[in-house]
Amino acid sequence: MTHDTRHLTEAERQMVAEGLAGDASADVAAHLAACAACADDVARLKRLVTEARALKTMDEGEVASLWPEIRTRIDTAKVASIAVGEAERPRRVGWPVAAAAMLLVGVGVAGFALRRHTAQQPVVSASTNDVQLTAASDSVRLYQDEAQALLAQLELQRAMLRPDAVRAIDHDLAVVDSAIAELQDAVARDPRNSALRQLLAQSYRRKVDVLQRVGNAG
Amino acid sequence: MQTLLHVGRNELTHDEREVVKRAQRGDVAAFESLYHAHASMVLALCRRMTGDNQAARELVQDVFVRAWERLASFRGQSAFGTWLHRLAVNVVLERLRSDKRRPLATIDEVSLIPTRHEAGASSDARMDIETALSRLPHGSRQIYLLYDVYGYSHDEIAAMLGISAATARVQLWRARRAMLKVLGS
Repeated sequence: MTHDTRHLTEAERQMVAEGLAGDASADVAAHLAACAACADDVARLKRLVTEARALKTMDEGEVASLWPEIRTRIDTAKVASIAVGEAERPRRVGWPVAAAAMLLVGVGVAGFALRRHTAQQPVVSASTNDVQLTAASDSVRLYQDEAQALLAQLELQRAMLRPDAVRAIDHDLAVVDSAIAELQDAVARDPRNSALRQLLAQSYRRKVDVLQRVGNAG
Repeated sequence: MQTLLHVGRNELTHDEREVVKRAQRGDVAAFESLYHAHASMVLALCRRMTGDNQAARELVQDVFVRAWERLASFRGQSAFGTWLHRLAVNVVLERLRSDKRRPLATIDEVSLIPTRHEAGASSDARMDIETALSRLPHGSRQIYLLYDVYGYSHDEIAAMLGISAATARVQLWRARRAMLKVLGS
């Protein structure tokens, strides 16, 4: 190819700007040395490519405020999602549930479960409730299995933990287990209440969190 | 809170590997550490690709929730930042595809882009590359960002956007021309 009589093609200019001219680079270089128009155009493209590759990220400060919402979504995503107000509200629940819910500080869905008085219940279609029941039940089973495995691991670690750490763990587990026991009773009395099952799943999830912390610390 | 000082794009450091492992075991504090190490990068990506600050902030949340859900699929074969970046690109592209007002294939809109002069900027105003990016049509912007700024190959971009590598290459060239036009250079 000779560049005496014509300018570089668009492909050639772009490739040169990226440093990808390849086998044609000698011809291209010869043309660029002789043609100011092509040389100027390639120089502009090169500057653009260089500037693009040097773009910086933004200040950390802008992103710190986004974390709390992400944390809430992570926590709520750990159980089947049931929008507050769309499902049946749990009926009377006692202090162990309240204590477990206190452990769930930061979880946006905890507060709604603590009503001691029966609230007016919105209408939920049978099919919607069936889906919610299935999802919540699946979550319960998932966390039950995970908690069981972690408990077995805890028993192996227990002898190596400090006594005060063991007491703290046992206390947290006792609170969560009390909530779980009461919620299991409530679910047995009202098996079609999907909100109760979701709360049960959350309690199991909290138990898993407690046990995972122990495992990580170990 | 532990903070990762620096995470390269192509290497998984020992410290990062440990933090990722903890996060994969369900340690949210470890995941928060990863968030603080990489969130600026993700926000910049989302903002540049959408050209919309509010949408970008929402997308950052979507990206990290998705990352948490899919942490188990990260095998440590690349740096966490590389894995996260690719995931973020996919999340943003999904959002843009679902938004009928923002079709990806808008490269032909390049001729409609106002130059710095046409946009009313004073002749001595410095229009930096970020501002120029924000004026590109979405289709042009995606390809320009993915190739020139973030270093994805034409094959990778083609797969992401559902076009051929040859088309991706030609559209990149046109996007660069559009950038030069907006920059007035």
